[in-house]
Amino acid sequence: MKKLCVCAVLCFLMLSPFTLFAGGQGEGSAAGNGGGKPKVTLWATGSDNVRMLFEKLIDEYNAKPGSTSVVELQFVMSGSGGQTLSDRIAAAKLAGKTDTDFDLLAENGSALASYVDKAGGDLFVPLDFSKIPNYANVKMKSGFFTDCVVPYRGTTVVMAYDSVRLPNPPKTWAELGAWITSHPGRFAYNPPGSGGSGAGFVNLALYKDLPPEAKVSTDEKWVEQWGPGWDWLKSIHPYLYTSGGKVVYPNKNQGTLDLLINKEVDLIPAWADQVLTNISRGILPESTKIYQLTPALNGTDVVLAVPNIGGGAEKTYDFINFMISPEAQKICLETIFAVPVIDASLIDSTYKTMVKDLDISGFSVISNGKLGDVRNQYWDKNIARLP
Amino acid sequence: MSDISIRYSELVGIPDDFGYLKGERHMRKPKWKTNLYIALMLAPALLLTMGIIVYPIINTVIRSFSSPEDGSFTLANYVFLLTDDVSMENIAYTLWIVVVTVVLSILISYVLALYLRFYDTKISKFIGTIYLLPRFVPSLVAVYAMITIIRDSGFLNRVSRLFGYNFKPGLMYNARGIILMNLWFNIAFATMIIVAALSSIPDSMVESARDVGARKINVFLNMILPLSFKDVMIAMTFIFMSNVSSFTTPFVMGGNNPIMLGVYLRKQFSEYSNYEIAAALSVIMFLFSSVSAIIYIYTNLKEKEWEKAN
Repeated sequence: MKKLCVCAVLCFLMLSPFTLFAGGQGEGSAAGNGGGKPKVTLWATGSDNVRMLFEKLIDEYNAKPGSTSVVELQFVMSGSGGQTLSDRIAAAKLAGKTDTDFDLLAENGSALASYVDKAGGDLFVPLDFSKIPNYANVKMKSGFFTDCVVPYRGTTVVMAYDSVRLPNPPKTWAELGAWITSHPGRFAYNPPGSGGSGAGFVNLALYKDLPPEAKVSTDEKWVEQWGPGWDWLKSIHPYLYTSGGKVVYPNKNQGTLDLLINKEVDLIPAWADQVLTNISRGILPESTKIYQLTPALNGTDVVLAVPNIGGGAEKTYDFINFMISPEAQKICLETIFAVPVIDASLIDSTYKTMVKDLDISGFSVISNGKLGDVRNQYWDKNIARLP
Repeated sequence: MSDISIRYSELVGIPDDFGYLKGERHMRKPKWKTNLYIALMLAPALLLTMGIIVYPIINTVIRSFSSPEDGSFTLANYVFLLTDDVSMENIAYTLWIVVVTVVLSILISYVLALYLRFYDTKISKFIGTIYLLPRFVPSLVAVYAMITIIRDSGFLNRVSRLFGYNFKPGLMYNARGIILMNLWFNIAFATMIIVAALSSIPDSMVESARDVGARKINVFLNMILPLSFKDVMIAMTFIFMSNVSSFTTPFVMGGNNPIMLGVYLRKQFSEYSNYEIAAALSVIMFLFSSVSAIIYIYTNLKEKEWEKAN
């Protein structure tokens, strides 16, 4: 009998981590409430640099004597295989919960459509901008759910090149095509499914001559209009980077950056913040420069929004206002080279020269939702298989 | 031949009653308490296995036969994978890379293992100490280390430029680079298994065979090879299985087309959102691995027959 007891205890011990874990998630929300201020849980998703940015911003905000709330970060790392943030919020919303801790959400403006697709049109609360005084300084009003969001930074795909090897980079789309064909093997972009910079480049090829409404539409009819774009991409294929005698498109945003770092190519499309981070760490030489093509490669604003299943908009206004203050904008710029949403003259930082050519109000936003899947599949089947 | 057919279990030093609870060899009927005890001790592991392995597998198989529109039964996902040009190229490419990897790693490992087992020099001792190192290097680190050496602007290229050449290995973004990386990972593993098998062959047996006039090649073909055959099969099975589903190496080092099935699976799942086709592809990869598992079980059974002979 003694043995039985022992193994019953053992079984309980083995299973207990699961039960404890399941039960523990909702707890702790009442604790650690600094001096009666309401707690705001901020949910964000992205790569590790975004987590670092928010930890810095939140430390700064919570330490301010004048702050009216205590912000806590819940970060969902992208691409780690877990449940995405949009799925979590949609699940809570569809389960009929109204009192969750999804108080505030930070997400790409172009990604908000997928939240609403899953959770329903009334997910985001309209904001009272009179309670966010700094909003008057914001240069760009978001193209998506304008009444419900406040952009706090921009991120965009740009062209990156080495000014020593390439003193005069092609500035327009037509010049780019001519430059690629006259410099075989010196240009590369990554497969659109493997990273946003390649996707941005392919998107521009497909959409540059389409009407503006096509860029923010998920209607299948636009797929038929992609023909000339695909033909152009096929025409430049033989002149792209080669290895082992074959044209290759290296996987991931970092794949093309590696080619630029190793001087195997001279010009690539890349995320502005990734290039600037690489330069600041000395991985890319100081002579690396970025610029925007005409027409522009796509970018997006990253916004703050308040889901209607959290604690309401009222307690979040003070933090939102802080996020678009010159002080917080400076932290965004200096931590991840984010493009400021307020006028650069308001920010006191030597870093702003690095992003001076990236004006957020000139960003070209392409948000084609599920058509991105169609684009990736077509590219893999027809461009990747060219000899 | 018969004088060398000692029991396999003696050869590797496993006690004859291995795998039985003490005293159970001469079967007394286990009491219900013992049964309950065993069941309770196994329950957490069993539940965990059911929950995180068996249930998802069943789910995947069901999904692979479902239509993406209405969830009804269909074979369309399999028909697509087995008729589509891209998909067939990817399957053929994967099998080709895996077979080349298996054959090359076994050949190299066997020679290396023979050297480590039968040559007692300073060099062999040194290699014997360091050959396992690749097992301790995280795979992503190893892949990027390899890339910095073999890429067209990498270490080899820079060294060649010191001497006025411009040598471009051309190993990146194609099958050659993937196979090279696979060898790096698998040779250490296969050598470890084969060395263990060869170590269990007593020196005295080899020496006595040599004493009665057997030539080296005969000792190898008639003694060493048959005695290590089972372990070679085990090594082959594991190399085959781990490479059919490999992802990191082909994703970072591979080209854009054709691609290995692990990368293709990711594309179907997270780039095209074709969850049903992704499920069917998982089942196909599972079947490939099963084939090698069957070969493995078959060789194991054969060994039992061989043991019975005495």
